[in-house]
Amino acid sequence: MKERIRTLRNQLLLWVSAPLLALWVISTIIDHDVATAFVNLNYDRALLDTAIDLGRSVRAVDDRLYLDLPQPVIEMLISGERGRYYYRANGPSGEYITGDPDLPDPPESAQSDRVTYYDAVYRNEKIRAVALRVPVRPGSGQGAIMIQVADKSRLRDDFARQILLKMIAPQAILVLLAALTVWFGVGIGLRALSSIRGQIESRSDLDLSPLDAGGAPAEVRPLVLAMNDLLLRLTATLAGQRRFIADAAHQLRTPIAAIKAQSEIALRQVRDEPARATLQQLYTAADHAGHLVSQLLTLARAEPGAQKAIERQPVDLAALARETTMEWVPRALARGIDLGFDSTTPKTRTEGDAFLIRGLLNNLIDNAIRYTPQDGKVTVRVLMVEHSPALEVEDNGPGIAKQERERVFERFYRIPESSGEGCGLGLAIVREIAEGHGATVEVLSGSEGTGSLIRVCFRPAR
Amino acid sequence: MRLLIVEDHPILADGLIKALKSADYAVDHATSGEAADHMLAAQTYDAVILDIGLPKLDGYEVLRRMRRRGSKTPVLMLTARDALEDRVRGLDLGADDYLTKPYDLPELEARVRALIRRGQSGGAAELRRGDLMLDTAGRRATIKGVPLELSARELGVLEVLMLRAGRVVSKEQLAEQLYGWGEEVGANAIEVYVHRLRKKLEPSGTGVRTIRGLGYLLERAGQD
Repeated sequence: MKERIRTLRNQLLLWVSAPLLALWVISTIIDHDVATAFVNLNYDRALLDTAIDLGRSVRAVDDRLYLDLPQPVIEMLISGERGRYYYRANGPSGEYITGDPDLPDPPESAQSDRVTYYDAVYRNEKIRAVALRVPVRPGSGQGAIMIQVADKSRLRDDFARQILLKMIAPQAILVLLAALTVWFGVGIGLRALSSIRGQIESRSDLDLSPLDAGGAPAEVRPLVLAMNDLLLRLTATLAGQRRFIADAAHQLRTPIAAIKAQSEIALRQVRDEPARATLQQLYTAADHAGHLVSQLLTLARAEPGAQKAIERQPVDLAALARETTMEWVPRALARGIDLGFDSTTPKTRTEGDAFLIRGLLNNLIDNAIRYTPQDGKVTVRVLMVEHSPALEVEDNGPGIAKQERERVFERFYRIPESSGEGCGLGLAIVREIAEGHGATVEVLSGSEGTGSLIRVCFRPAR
Repeated sequence: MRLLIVEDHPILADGLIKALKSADYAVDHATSGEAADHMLAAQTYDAVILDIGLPKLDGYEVLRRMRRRGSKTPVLMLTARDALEDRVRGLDLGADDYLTKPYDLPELEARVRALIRRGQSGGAAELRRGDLMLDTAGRRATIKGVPLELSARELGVLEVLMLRAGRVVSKEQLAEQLYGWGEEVGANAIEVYVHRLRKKLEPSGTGVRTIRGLGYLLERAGQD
């Protein structure tokens, strides 16, 4: 089941549209009643007028009653603009005089009231009828003629429906417009939020500086301020943690130096081979510990919040890489590795923290030298890769298998059965620093088919 | 040669003292900044190895007081911090060199030797490398005492390489050095001088190695 995401827009839309729709329904019901009443009033009056017309044409000759209907009245009855009327006239004692003989009788009350309206069914159709009592001769006591006139209810319903439609259609449009207004209004109102989202999305993960609350509306401001407060506390926590790591690492350095110094002195004094082997192991382990501590320090410095953001100073990659590579040459030579440098482009400026970029390169060179066998070749290169200044470190060592190329960047990960004595932090540091600079790191195969080539593409300087 | 080691970690200090004593230095040891300050005021040393992180009086303060007294004794600072600011601060206060812990003893010993040499002669007049000797004042070089025929520019290249023995010297650095003799030197010319120098140095056992894309390096032959 996919969880339904509640959006402000949908909620507002629901809370605005639902009552409007309910109001619309209620108003439709009321409109229907009003329209029906209006139509009935109108049609009933016409029925009554017709009945009165018929009443006026009652004639009595020799006690025989008949209706002397003028031609226009007959025409009106048969084909009036409101359709055919039904009618019937009965004498005082109920005898049929003229009209539609099977027209349903009026209710009881019609015998006493002068005018009675009623609904009935005639020839399978609903009809509306009026019963009018007209005295045969006023004051003569001869009783009254009952005149009934009816029309089809369907006509009234049609008319009422037309009126209703004319009334509810604009209301429906109104509801629709309200919904649209909410839809777009919310979008416009939420622009403040998306600008803040933009601010958050576009920043480096090393940047924990407060968000700009300047343009935010009063409703969103508290959210931004709360977020900034959180960022501030996060910065403090991270700084504390980093300080702890840095302090711990620094504190470790002195005892490690002591172990190294003592084991070196012992190595000079002791002639016994097994003891020398043990001392050599001790020295090597201490050396590793020292390396690990340095790596931890670099990592602590590269981690989020180490600075407000990575300091964006202009950095000449070629100059930095050349200088750093030079420093590594003696160590590479000591391991019998040919370390060289190659720069093919004059445009090698990027922006960042020179200390960290140097740390990144130190780790790449260190790794290459560690894992490349004696008489191997390591080349540091500065070049342009699709308009981006890039650093490459290539070796002709064993290379990194394709399935390992992502994992080698994990902290403390070491390729199974690899030689060398790295601590597994080198490439993690490389990636951490690269990400902090908005740079990308890829592991490729060496250009001669063997070895590995690690490429870091930086952003060009603005 | 009398050295002062200022280090409060007893085991590390013990290691340093043993190492330097075995290299025939007379070594004094101070475990606090205050003690070091007193000893430096009372006695002249040929070099001081000074830890920065000391209780009470830190290494920076010891160095500041020393320089205020007008002492020119060379100082090697030992630091557990590798932040650039820490190094710059030490060097600004008058330290001559610094080492970040943990270091290798041979490295420390080499730095101490270099410090003492600098302190003694204000820049050594004679640079030695195995059988090869360069007299920078007399501007001549010998192999096992036999004079080496070198042009002024070849001598200039050799001097730069020997001064930075074991480290890479770029063509630009060499060109800059030779520029002092009054004319512009191109990269191709440098290659020629190095080529000739390499041939002439062959009997000495010291080689000039070409480092791809970076420059040259005087290879270790014999000790530092």
